[in-house]
Amino acid sequence: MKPVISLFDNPTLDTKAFWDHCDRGELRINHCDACQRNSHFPRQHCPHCGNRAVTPRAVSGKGVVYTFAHVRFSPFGTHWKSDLPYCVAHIDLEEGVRFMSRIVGDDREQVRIGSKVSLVFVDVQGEEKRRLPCFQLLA
Amino acid sequence: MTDDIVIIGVGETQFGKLNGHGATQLQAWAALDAIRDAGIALQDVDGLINQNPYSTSQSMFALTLSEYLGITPTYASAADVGGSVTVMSMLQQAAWAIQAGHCRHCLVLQGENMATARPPNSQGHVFHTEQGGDEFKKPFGVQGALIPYAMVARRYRDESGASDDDCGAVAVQMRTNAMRLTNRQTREPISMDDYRASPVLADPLRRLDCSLVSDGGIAFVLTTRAEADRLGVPRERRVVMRSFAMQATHCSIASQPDLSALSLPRVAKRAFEAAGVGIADMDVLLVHDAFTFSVLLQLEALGVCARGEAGALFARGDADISGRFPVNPHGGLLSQAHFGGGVHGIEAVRQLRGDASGRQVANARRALWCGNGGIFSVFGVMVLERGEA
Repeated sequence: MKPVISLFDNPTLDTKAFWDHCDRGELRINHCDACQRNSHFPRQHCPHCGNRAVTPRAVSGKGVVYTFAHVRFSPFGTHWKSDLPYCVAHIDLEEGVRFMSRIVGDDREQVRIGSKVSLVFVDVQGEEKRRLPCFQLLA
Repeated sequence: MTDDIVIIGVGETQFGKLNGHGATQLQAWAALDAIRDAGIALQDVDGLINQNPYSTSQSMFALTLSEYLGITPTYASAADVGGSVTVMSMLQQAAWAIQAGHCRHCLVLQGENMATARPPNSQGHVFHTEQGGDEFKKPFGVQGALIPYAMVARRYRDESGASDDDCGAVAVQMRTNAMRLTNRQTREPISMDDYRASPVLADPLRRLDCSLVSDGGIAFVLTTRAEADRLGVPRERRVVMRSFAMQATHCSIASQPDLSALSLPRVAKRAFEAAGVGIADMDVLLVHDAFTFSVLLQLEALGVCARGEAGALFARGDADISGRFPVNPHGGLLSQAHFGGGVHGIEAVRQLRGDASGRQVANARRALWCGNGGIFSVFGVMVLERGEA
């Protein structure tokens, strides 16, 4: 898979572990030790029940496209132009959370709402140690 | 809400690109215009509630404005909820502050240089949001309002069957409306062919699906009914806020719920019940039109028509000023100006006072203002009436 362009913010206390797992090729989503429900984005409590004990758990990597958009202009200045058009998407993961991501692969313009997708970690241009959790269409 | 509190003045700056004007100057310009419209003196103002600008974030902005204007308010507060819901909530706060005796003549202000204060290479309105916002959007190439709304538009069009031409009909009507007033950022009318030829920026959104990015400011003056009597403000030039309801569901697109879980249907129900009216009782609709499809989605959620039918309503002319449901006679955020959505509230007041010259909806006595902020993150609905009762 061709490396993508990405812009990262400095992670916070809540999010550092999430991005560290990504860089190791693992997507982990918070699981509540009390009510057993999952949540995303990472924070230090469960937004369903308020419990403060949550554990990041690896996901299956399978999901369905809730919605998507093909971006045909560069929102971050000219250096994003080489990635156009890129496809941003919301993926409903098997684990019951909605995850904002990108659809990658040469067939990405074939994506539809409801398309089945699977997780793929993609290298990031100019960021040797970073890997971005993206999705590709299942055949 | 109470009909003991009335809006007696509105003001606005010129809209467009106003190089050199900051949020302070723009809010003060609108404030002085509204004070004159209300027929009070600057030193009569003892309450000030304003929006902290997005493009050039400020601390203590209510005090900044008070100092700049030269007033010493006994109630001051800066607010930010999101989009036009910020303005509605400031109006509600003003009503509460006056009712509780903290002030008598309260200014409500929104305005900033959204267009000329943007950093280089940015598009749309600039937001700075933390957790769940930038950190889980930006790495994937999601920024501003256009890309998130393209994702919502895709889902809405898939569920409702709305077409390109349905969205185009909104764009053309809003531009037609804006051409009937002078204070507007756009210059030329557009046709459906112009819309169809407009470039796709992020599927399915075209350039002409997107609202403007403007410099500008708006202001309201509120007081008690008794004070309006004392000032000699004629009853037909007062506007009352019959009801207001709002609900937030999320902030960032990264946390968007299902379309069916957006708060507008519940918010509208509460606002209608509190006012004792329904959608059929409304003479004019002011609908937050950051994007064309936003108008379709909101009209359908408000019960103006069934799902997927709002585009036909525009194509038939029902949304024009002489139609069954006039929408945004001022041309809205798509064609008048967009620096947060307060222009809808100003237009509601002008329509209800009967001084919307060249675009007046005949006998407009009751207006519905439907607003949102963020990425449909919060909805607000306000029912306003001419205060002659």
